[in-house]
Amino acid sequence: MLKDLIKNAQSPWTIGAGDDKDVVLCTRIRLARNFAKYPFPLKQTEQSGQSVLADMSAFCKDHSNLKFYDLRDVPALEKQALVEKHLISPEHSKDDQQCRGLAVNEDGSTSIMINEEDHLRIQCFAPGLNLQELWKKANMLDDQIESYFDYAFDEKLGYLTCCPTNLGNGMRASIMMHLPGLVLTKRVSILDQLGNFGMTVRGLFGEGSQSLGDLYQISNQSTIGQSEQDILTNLQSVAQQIIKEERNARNFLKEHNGLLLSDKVWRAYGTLANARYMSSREALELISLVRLGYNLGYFNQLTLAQIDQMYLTAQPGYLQVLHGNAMNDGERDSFRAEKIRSILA
Amino acid sequence: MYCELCKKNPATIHYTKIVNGHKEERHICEQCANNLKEPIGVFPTLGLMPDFSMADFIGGFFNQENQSQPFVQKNMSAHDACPVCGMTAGEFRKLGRVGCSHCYEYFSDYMPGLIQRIHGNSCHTGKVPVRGEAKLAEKQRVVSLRQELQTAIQQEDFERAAKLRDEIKKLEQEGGQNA
Repeated sequence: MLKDLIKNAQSPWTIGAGDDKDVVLCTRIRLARNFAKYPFPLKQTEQSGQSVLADMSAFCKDHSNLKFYDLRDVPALEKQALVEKHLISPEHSKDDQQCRGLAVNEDGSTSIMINEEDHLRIQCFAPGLNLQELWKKANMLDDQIESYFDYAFDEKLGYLTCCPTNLGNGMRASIMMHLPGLVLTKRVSILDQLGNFGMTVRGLFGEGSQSLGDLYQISNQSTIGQSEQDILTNLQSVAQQIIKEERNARNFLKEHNGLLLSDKVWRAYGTLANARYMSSREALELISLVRLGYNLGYFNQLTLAQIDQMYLTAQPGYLQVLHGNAMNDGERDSFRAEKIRSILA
Repeated sequence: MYCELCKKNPATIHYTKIVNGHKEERHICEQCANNLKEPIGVFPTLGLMPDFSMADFIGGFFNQENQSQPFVQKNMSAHDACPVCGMTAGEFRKLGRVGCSHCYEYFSDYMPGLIQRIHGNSCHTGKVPVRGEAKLAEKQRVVSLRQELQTAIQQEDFERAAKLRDEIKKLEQEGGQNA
């Protein structure tokens, strides 16, 4: 079943739905939690690690929407694809014989990393900008787990976490945004200002100020001193400002550089629809242009879901699980081009 | 691994060269990197710079001197260890992470400056676990019962004191079972 979940092209961030979907691919809320009775994974023995897995496996039996997996039994390639789908962190995909586990629901909109840095990293995903609904969901799951187990909690410090930077509510809310307008108009530097509002920004792919595919993730920085609700309200209003700026930039480009922009966009589409060989990097760059063009009304025959599904084909792990075998660079590039052509056909 | 060019020095710079789609892994030493005709990027020795690590960053706080506010209230030897999980002060300083929930209490005099630097002078104001709330109430009940017990003993009301003692015992046992 895990393989089916991995192969499924309908990830919450690839179905092209939700509020402000022209700019926001997906929203995520993550809660860091630890059980009171065991040492943190950093100081875990095989036995206490195993107990955490057993506890969560039992919890999943009572909550049939969640399936439990011992990640030591999952092949490396599948774990890589889980990372690409954001269901686990790169750290959690390591083959290091730690008692790592995963609980995940059928559509991949809820996942719990077990024995990552903390005993539990509860993650909920939703397409588009959707912080309030998502918080309700994460909060409820958190309550359910807490009705089974005692959490490590301190009145003053809040939920106790392995790293002191997560103390407090242990919540990290992130919004994954597509910002080609700000990049093309060279205004992406406004994101550097977000630190002043208690937010951090990082590119989804690649390092440095320009992210591959123009995908950025905006999250809250601090986890203590503010209630969850205050943090979410703040993040929501910051996100809305960025969305407004991005739309302004796109419209400016269309109005003032329409011919050049449409040329760029249609060439990108032409390449994606016809290429026989395509690297992950090239795919990400071209998909970004086509997504921009779609949202400016250049394509009537496409859907946003088709476009966002192409993001998955840029991922090497996903591609190989889909293919059924490990492939080298060249084989991947040719299979990728084939997959993208079939999505656009 | 030795440098591929001079075959004398250890290879400290590793990079991937892509020519016409063909990938080539290179492993060379700093000296040879500086003599290359085609420099690797603008700063050929940038690869020597270690990755930024949050743990080192946090650990660095402990080594700063001349601070107007002391970072630690109590100095600990590197071998002082949390009695529950065995995390030592030295390990904590190196990893920037703690080993269990008791570490926060054990190292509390050692890291108030740390939590303040990361989070400011803040106190948790968000969600409280329901069971935590119940436990808190239980704890407070035990405290007030103890006070009553003291008063009863002072007033030599031993019958009442015995009752209170039993109740405290019962509450503490229940607390122990739930923990």
